Amino acid sequence: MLNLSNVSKTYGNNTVKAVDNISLEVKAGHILGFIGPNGAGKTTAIKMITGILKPDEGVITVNGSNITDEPIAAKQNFGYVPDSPDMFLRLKGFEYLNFMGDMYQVPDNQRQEKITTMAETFEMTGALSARIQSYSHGMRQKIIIMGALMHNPAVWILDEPLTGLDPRSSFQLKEMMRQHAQAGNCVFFSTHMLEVAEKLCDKIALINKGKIIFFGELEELKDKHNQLSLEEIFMEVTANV
Amino acid sequence: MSKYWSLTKTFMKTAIGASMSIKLGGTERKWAGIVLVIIIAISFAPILWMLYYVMTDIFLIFDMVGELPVGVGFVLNIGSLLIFVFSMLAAPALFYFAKDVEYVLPLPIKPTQIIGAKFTIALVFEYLIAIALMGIVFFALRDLLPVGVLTFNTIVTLLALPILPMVYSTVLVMLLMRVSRFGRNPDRYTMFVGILAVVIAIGFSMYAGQAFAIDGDALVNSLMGQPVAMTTLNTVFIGNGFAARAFGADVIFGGALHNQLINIAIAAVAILVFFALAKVLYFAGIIGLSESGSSGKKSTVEDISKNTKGQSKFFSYLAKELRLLFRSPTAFTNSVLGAFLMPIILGISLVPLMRSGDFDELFGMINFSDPRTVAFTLVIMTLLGFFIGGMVMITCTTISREGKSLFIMKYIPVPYSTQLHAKATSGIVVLIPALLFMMVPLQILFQAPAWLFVCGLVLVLPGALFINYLGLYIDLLRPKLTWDNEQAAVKQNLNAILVMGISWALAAVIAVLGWFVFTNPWVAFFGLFGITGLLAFTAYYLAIGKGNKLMERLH
Repeated sequence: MLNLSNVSKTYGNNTVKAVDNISLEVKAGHILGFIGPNGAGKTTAIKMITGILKPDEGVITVNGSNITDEPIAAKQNFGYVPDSPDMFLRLKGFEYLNFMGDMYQVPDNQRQEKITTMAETFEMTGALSARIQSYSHGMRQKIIIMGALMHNPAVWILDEPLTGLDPRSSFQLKEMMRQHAQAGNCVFFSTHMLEVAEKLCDKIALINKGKIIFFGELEELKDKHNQLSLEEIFMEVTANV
Repeated sequence: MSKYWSLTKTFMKTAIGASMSIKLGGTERKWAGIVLVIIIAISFAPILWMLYYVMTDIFLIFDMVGELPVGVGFVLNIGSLLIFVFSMLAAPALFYFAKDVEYVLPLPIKPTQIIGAKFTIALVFEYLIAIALMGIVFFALRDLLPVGVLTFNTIVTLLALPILPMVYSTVLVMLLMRVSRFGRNPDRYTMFVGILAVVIAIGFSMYAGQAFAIDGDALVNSLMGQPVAMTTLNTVFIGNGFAARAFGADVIFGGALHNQLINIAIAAVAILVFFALAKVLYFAGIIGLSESGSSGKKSTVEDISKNTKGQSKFFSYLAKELRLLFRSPTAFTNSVLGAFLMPIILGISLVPLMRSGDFDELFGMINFSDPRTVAFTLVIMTLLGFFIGGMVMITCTTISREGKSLFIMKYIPVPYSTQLHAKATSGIVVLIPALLFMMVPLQILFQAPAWLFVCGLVLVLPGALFINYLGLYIDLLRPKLTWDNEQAAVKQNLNAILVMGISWALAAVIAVLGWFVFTNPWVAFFGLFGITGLLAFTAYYLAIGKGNKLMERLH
């Protein structure tokens, strides 16, 4: 459903590639955890997947649509939660959700149903009429998640989605990710919470210095590293590369 | 370095440090920021020059009747009032909305050190006004007082002048933040004080218009009669009375010194009172300011149904643009309000002319049956389009205002052309009422034939559209995307100045053409329509046609 093939990116006149020839695939029914240290190239990769940056080389397809050649079709296929929820702060919760509904052309009945369900799930029904500016960090994160998922996208791209969420909302989002994958869709999410990645993901992509140093199932990775925990493996491989 | 000085330096950097730099050729240049400040300072020179002449006259008249302290007291009170107003505008941003205090609260620093650092920065800004004022006072009095006494009084008065008005305004702001919910919404407060500042500016220009109309003797008589306003100011800004009396002395010892000592003592007491009150009011008001919380009223199914009506991508994007524009105090007061207030200010400045009877004479000279007058009127209307277009600074900052959120434009499934169209339309939505707001009163005043008014409307629009699309194109070419405070994207954006410069240059060309070539009404109409239409189309092509490529370049 989400495919990256030999993708590279260099910023400006730098000689070092921010992302260096990465390839990975997230199949239907899978949750992929994208992990790596700060500055490894995670955000650059996500920006290329979502069309924010153009790759210098390689091909990215989202549900069959090439993000470079058919950007609108490709963007319609994913829901994206950026790493910072500080956006549209002067809009009210309702206004933001409506705006996103309009951008993705969500029919009124689906919009109402989604808002009702997600507002209940994330305990946001009391905040929709207020400006996002007045929300706490966690509430902002929740409203951005609601906006990103309203059009029922097949592919979820979530950049650090659990940061700032309270335990209940964090649990709910993880459940939603599982259900979404079980329904034949896929989730691509970056995280620094390795225990979460360990429990939630079907596959792991480990990136360091712009290169994918491991892509595969967690068990496969553990087999290679004497059944160490993901945290221990992370410490080992990012120190040696 | 002591904690107090270190804090002051840090707060000062967060207050002005970043905003001093201007991006040129992709790099932040501090010198460009300093040049801009110098240009702005030079632009104030004519006003300072005018004030110098007015003060020289006032002081001379008061000196002739042996009441120089009354004249000096009048000027000092006006200065204190000005500082009070400026401080009311600046204090909330510095003390409350800068969002730096919550980061230093957990550090082992005394509350008085934090308050002291903030107070010092506020004082530095207010001293800039005090220096300008006392500089003028010094030069205006240099022929009336011995240079030693004058220098002593000027320096001591300068040191004390901003303190009392600043203490009043800051304590008032702290009270407002402590007891009222109104002040705790930064947008609402900034919008309120922004509009208040413009109203004060208009009020001041009206007052100044009247003040310059009356002669110096009338002013002396008025002040000697102890008007209520001046007596009140003397009581409120109590130190000014002693400072003014010091200016009446010929010697320092046994004359000016004891009055100035009292003046300084009053300022010192004011600072002590400020610290005592600030300790009680300030921290209680600032805690939790950034998170005022929602109403908590749960939305029902009906609420959700009522609030979730879909519309097209274009109209939804346009509605979002307008909401953000009207809810952002900086963008609203700088990009929208000015265009609607300019006709009012121009109207007010015309009032003395209308009263004087010169206007009737002017009316008598206008003959709309004369082809040359008609042609000239059409040129003027075309230039009005450029003028108002330049006042509505919406599109020339529309990309810059996105700042770090520019990436949203890139990941939503909406073509850039649709988004750019919506952004340009947000400018037009404001532009058209602004044009009518200017044109309709002019039509009522000058009573031009209806057909001429319609022709004028046809001509005024392409010029304004040209500025609108040119602004969008220039902002796409060189947006200012890195900023912490939206003011940097709007007020300190050279794109607005660039657009204004281009539009004025073109307006000058059109004015010259109008004078020498467009002397016949038909030639004028079609000629002007052709030129402005071509300009508007070119700018449209550059902004929308090339917009896709320009957007891809940005990140």
